Parts: sequence; structure tokens; C-alpha cells
Amino acid sequence: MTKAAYDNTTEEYRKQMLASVRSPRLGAPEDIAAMVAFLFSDVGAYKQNRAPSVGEEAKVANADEALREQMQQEAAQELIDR
Amino acid sequence: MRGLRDKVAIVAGAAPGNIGGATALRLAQEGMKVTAADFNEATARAVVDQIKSAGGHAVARAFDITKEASYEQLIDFTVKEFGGLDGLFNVAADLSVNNIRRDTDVTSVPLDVWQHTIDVTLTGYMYGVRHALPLLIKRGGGVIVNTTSSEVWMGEDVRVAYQTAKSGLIGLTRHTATLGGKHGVRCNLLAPGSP
Repeated sequence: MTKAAYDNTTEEYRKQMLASVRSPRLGAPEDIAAMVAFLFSDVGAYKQNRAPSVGEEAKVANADEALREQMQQEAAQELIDR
Repeated sequence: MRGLRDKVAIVAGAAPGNIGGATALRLAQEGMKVTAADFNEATARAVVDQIKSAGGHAVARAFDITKEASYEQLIDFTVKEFGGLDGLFNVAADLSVNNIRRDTDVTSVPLDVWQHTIDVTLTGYMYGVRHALPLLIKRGGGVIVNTTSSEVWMGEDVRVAYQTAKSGLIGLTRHTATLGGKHGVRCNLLAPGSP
């Protein structure tokens, strides 16, 4: 949650949001930054016309999986290159 | 992350602590050269200071997203500064209390709030896409990311102008993805989950 979002919501609303996500915390700007980096990178090379909802924590977990997958692919590629 | 080092990005709407600021920092950490742009030059400069103190490469630029010439100048400035453009992140919004708190429901929203919100959040993003896309196509490819909001799917009973403008970005993004796709330009939408 950004500062602007925090300032524009009530404690009650934030409690409801936290209850609705599959995470012990609400999303942070850094979670969305990671998704933009993913979409800008070669890892997202076939992502077109998509609307990932990164505020929902389960989808952030998916982004992390994509990152893990990329790291595995890069590690595999390094082995091939060697 | 693979494919980012030495590429050039514009983050349109970057201030410390917001999504744009965090993204500018992250892209710079990944080795991209970043123009951090904001309506307020001081906030853009604060983002650049953060990036530079972390060893990254960035420049600050003030721009008014509601003016097409201003957005075009931002893109020209970036191309001159870094020699090209590879990625555009549209994330600007006017979340000032004076604007967002007056963005009520359809029966009561003041028309100036309605129009201003559409100017910033929909037409402004279009200006960016309009002037970045030809450059990206000419370069052989690139990426545009537009920021919508999960409010668009939630259908909340407040912020009608914001929700409506953000909904329009679905059409802009799909259109751009189709127009640029065969030329190697990808266009995607991000939907952060809180208002």
C-alpha cells in the first residue's frame, strides 16, 4: 500500500483488505516494481496484453514463481554455455 | 533480470514512496538508465537522488501529463540523454486530497474533477503511448506498461472518475498490444490492488 492509498483509506478498510489477501501483509510499491521489471525484461518476452493484478498477494506469489523460474532457466543456460 | 542492463526507461509519475518511485529505483538497480518524471520536479529529483546513492543511472524531469507537448518533450529529452527508449511505465495519477476526495459518485462528482481525472489518467497515458510507440517500433521493439487499478473490477461506490478513467486503459492497452505486437512492442496493464 502506498502512502497516498494509506491516507485515503480507513483502518477498517485496510483490515478488510488484509483479511482478503493470502499474505500476512498488504502489497507494497516494491512488489509492483518487481512486476514492472519482469514485464520489461526478457523473462516477460511473451507477455502481451496482460493485466496482472499484483495487489492481490496470490498473484504476487505467482510473480515470485516466475522470477524463480527465470533464475532456474538462467542457471540451466549457464551450464549449457559452459 | 535478463534483458534490462543498459536499456532505457521512462517512469512517468515517480515520487519517493509511490509505485513510480519504487519502480524507477528497481529498474535502475537492474541496470537500466531511467528518466524519473513527475509533475513536481523536486519529487522526481528526490527519486533520482535515491537511485544515484544506490549507484544507479537516472535523470529527473518535470512534465505535465495533461499537455501533449510536455509528454513529447519528456520522450525527446530521454532519447537525447540516453540515446533511445526501450520501456515506458505510465503510472501518473493525481491522488491529491483535493482531487481524490472530491471524486465521489456519479450523482455528485464535480465535472472539473471528472475531466481532470480523465485528462491525467487516460488522455495523458495516451499521449505517452502515442509518442513512444513509433520510436519503439523503429527501434525494433520495446515495452509499454500502463497502470490501472483493481478498483476497475471491484466496482466501488466512490471514485467514479478514477475508476472510469482507469477502465479506459484496458482498451488503450489492448489496442496498443495489437498495433505494436507484430513489430516487437509489448503493451501490458498492471492492476495494483488498493486505491
